[in-house]
Amino acid sequence: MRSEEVRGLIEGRFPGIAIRVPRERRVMVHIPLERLIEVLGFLRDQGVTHLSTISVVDRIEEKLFEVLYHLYWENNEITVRVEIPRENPVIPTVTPVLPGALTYEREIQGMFGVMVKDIPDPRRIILPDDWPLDVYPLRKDYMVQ
Amino acid sequence: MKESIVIPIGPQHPCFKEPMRLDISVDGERVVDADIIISFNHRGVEKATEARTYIQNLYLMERVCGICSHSHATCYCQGVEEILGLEIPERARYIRSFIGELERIQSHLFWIGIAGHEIGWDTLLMYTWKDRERVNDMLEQISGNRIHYAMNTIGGVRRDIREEDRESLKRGLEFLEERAAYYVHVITEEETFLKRTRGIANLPTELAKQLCAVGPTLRGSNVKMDVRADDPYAAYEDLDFSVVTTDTCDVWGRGFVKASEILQSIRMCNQVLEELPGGDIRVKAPAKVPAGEAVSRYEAPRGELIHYIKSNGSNMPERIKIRAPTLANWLVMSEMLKGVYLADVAIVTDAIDPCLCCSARVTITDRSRGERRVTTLDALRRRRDGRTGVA
Repeated sequence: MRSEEVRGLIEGRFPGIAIRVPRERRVMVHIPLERLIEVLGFLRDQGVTHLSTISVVDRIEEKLFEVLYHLYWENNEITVRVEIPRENPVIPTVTPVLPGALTYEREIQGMFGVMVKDIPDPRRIILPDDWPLDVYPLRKDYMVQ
Repeated sequence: MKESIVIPIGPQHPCFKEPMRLDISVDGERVVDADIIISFNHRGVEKATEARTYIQNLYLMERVCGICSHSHATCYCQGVEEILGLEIPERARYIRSFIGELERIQSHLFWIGIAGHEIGWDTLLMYTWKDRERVNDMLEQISGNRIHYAMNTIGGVRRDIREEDRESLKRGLEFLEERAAYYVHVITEEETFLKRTRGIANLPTELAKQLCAVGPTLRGSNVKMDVRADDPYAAYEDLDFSVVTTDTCDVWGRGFVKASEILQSIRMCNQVLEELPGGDIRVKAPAKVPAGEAVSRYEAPRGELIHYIKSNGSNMPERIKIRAPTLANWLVMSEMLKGVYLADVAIVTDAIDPCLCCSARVTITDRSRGERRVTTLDALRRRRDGRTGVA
């Protein structure tokens, strides 16, 4: 499917949504956090099942985290972006919609301290057992000494 | 309700080549549940990228994984080139694909050997690893290195495929084609392999899709997904190959896909040698990268590899997220282990071709004095030099 068609499909369901096609096969969607499950649910209903990963960017100066869901569907990488406040970084789990998200939700919870509400398995996945619970190494204010 | 017993396997265990722990719950000989713990090997590569320039990161990326060093470097370069808006020369695209396919051949041969070893058939290991030497020799012939080829640079490749090497590379491919055809035959016909792999560790198509499996694991469950075909990069748009899938959805299927992919890789390599366009192998890239972002995808030997790169206008990236294929396959692995015999755990685990140094990336902590502090590489060097008496 052409990226413009994917864009049309999403815009048709969510008019006024911030969406751009930086190049063929890449679609970037920017949505408010409240609509995350709704948008991912809509995409799932269209046939999207593959979540490649979840990335987090720490925008420390603007006091927010950017959370990006990289989905793959019909030759298109669809990136769904939400922004959350840095002082209260909580996102809902997307596992009811995309069960494959569990690994990545566990990863960002440990590495960034972005808390995932209702996550089915809250254990950390990447960090060793003896790593302190409240130190998140991929945050910009964590310094490697 | 019957009680099950939990058997811990690992983190150090002969059936794993890298540290991981499996907590296997068994009821008699049958596995009823499996918990996978991989947090033994985090090296902090993602964090380290933020304190290095784009060129320094290139060499760091090569070292995310030993067996697919070209995959990470290419994926990274593609992303940075996309932000820069840099068009790389045609010849460089072809060379990237050529090295990528040789890497896939050596990685898949490596796997067939390990699979043989896991089912107690070490002859297969000896055969495939001997043949794998030929691929490594070819890679050395082109790049000077057997494993870390260091072929990539931002803007193209660093070394050319020389005209005088073409003949011996072709002879190498001819040899490998014969061997790969033999291994496909072995995997399809040999009772020793069939008995241990057919119908073992079933992964239905729908479940594989739902749990976002990637690579030969996914294609072995009859899902036709391959970044080279779906989201072509390097020269794959111009190369002829077919995406191999099977509908057996078992360990055998995963093995068959890998063995058959070797033949496809050889086909592509031959095509590159025939059709290699002339011209430069790289264009000059600026040291500073304008603010922007790119999602770069690559079909590594183990499956879809994805790098998310965000730049901030300086000569160092703002953020690089790496998701190596093995991380994507852990969820399906705990599903696949359910119901198998304890004796099959090794081959089932190996069927996804796990690569932990990709999965877990890190920061070094030194707790030798019973206190928690993060040590630096320089500090480690000083300690080493102090011990050996080097100034």
